[in-house]
Amino acid sequence: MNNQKIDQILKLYWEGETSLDDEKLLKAYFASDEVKEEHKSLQPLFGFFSSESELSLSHFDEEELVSKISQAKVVNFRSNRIKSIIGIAASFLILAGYLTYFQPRNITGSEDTIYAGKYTVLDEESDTQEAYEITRQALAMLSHTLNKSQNDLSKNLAPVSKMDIIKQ
Amino acid sequence: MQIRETMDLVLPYKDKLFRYAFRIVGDIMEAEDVVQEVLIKIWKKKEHFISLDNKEAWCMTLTKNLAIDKTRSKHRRIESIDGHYDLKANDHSPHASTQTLDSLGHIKKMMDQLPTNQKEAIHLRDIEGLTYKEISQITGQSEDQVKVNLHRGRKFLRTQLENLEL
Repeated sequence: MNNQKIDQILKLYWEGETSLDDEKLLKAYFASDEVKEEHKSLQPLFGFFSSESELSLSHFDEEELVSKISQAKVVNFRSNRIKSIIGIAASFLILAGYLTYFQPRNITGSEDTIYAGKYTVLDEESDTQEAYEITRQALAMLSHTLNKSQNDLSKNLAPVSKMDIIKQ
Repeated sequence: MQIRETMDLVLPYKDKLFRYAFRIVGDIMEAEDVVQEVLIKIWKKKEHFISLDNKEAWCMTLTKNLAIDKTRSKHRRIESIDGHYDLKANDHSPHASTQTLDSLGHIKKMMDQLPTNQKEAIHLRDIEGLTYKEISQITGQSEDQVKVNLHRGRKFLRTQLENLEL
């Protein structure tokens, strides 16, 4: 083989730009007895590649393998799909059960809380008087609660204010 | 599809899978285990496997992943592979054979020093003779990156060999 061509291919080879055919030529060249002295140092490298490409499974028993495989559990994609559908259906059932037993209840109950329920069904234009009345009652209730809290606080703080440490 | 029919599709690659696993795990027995696991996994996913266009690339990727899992799962003992080279007796004199064996052992050690991407690229290209496109599919890197890895890996091996000569 033309030495100049080998040098050209080698240059491309180091750059990682050779074709598979180029590389076959190189392997054939380095396996031959015509390797130039200047290329001798590269001979072991191509020898290594050839040697490695001949490594094979030494302990391979096809019968044993088939036996092992037949014992392995096969993943059946169709049964997986059915499992997924069952899972989704079960999720819907749980959700339906939750909504049946724990759905939000209508606002009923004590007088104190009934205003909120009433307010939500009011028509602003047609029943402004009733809206005014409900708001007034709500504010009165709030005021009453605040007064009561203030009285309780004053009552509870009275003994504390008598303490010597506070007076100092 | 029966086991034998499925295996007939895979077994032509078994030595290639073994070499790739061996390159990653560095141990003959473990590489054989990896190949066996690959074949079992293929059987388990046979419907998917049969539908593939490039079965070989898929098998190689599977081998790579299982081999990497194996290296992570246990601390590997470092083993010299000098004994695994089966040189033909009539090729060299005993002295020449020993020299060649030493050289191969040296190069194996040099290969082990390469970063994984470069080692992988050199193995798949220079040992298995795969195209850049196939290597790209197996490694998940672009063809340009594969070429860069080849360039860097080969350059390192060349420099190391030249230093040995000095």
